[in-house]
Amino acid sequence: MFAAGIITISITANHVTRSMVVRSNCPGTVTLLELSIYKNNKMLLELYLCLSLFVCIESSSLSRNSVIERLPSQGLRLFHPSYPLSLLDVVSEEEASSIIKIKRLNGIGSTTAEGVEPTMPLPWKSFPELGISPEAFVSSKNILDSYERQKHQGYFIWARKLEKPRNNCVLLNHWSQRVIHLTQYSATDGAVGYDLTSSVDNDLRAAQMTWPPLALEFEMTANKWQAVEVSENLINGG
Amino acid sequence: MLCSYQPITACLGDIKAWLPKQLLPTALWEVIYLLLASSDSEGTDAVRQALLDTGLSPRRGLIAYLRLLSKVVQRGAVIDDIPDYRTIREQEVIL
Repeated sequence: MFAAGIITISITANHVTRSMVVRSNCPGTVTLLELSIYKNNKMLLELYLCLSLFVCIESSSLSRNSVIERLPSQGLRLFHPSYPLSLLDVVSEEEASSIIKIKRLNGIGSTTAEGVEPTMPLPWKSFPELGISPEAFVSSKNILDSYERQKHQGYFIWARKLEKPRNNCVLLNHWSQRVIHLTQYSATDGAVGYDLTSSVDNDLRAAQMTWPPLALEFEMTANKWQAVEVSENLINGG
Repeated sequence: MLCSYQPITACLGDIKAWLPKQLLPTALWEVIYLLLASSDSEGTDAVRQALLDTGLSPRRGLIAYLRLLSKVVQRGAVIDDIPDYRTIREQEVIL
């Protein structure tokens, strides 16, 4: 967890107070820790570590900018597990910022956290999570209105093409429909990747792929792979 | 036994949890491919519509699933302009 701190020390007659302002990686969140050291004449008797103030400053401009910085300005999509058709539509920057605000107000993570638990994965379970009965014959207006009310629970996802492979990118093979997560890449040492579409679960050795130096570059030249940078929630997790 | 590493899931927004390999083995590739195909400035709608019309794997796959959902939405558009009092509602009758 990233944290940057500023420590200020103020000394009174018999009371030393250290205040530490910690900026966490959560946008707009500032935590103020106060470390109080009491002195009694010559001896240091007690040490109190108190979390005196826990200040969450909702700075709309700061949080909005820091979140938007991590999201691409173009090609941003929203994946809602109850309405996967949403990933076909581009989310504008204004819409993304409004969704992030709603997520924050509802206590949902800004960019990648979810509000819907994967009780049953896809496919064949869609509209009940939107509040629509599976037996009802509903109009498309009802479906879209229900999605508009629930879309803040979706995930922001994105992908963009790369000219060259690099660490933490994915390699796509469109013919065999494979996705390789490239975890190590070096022009001198070769590359190591893991097949995310491998049918062998819990066996990393079976899914591992290694390339000696310059081998991946040759395969890229032969158009066997396409290097793509994707959002982290597409490659992380199980 | 000394364990040096403990695997954990650090990212809360795990898309793959919704795309099981057993049912949708190539879903992750399909998602990324749709993101890339839709990002292209030229021919975006044509490529996307062609994928949804035909489906790369008609029997299973995320694109085939999206095709089904789009048909459900299109079917629902038939009654968009019909007022509620004229729609037929199925109700359970207890005798």
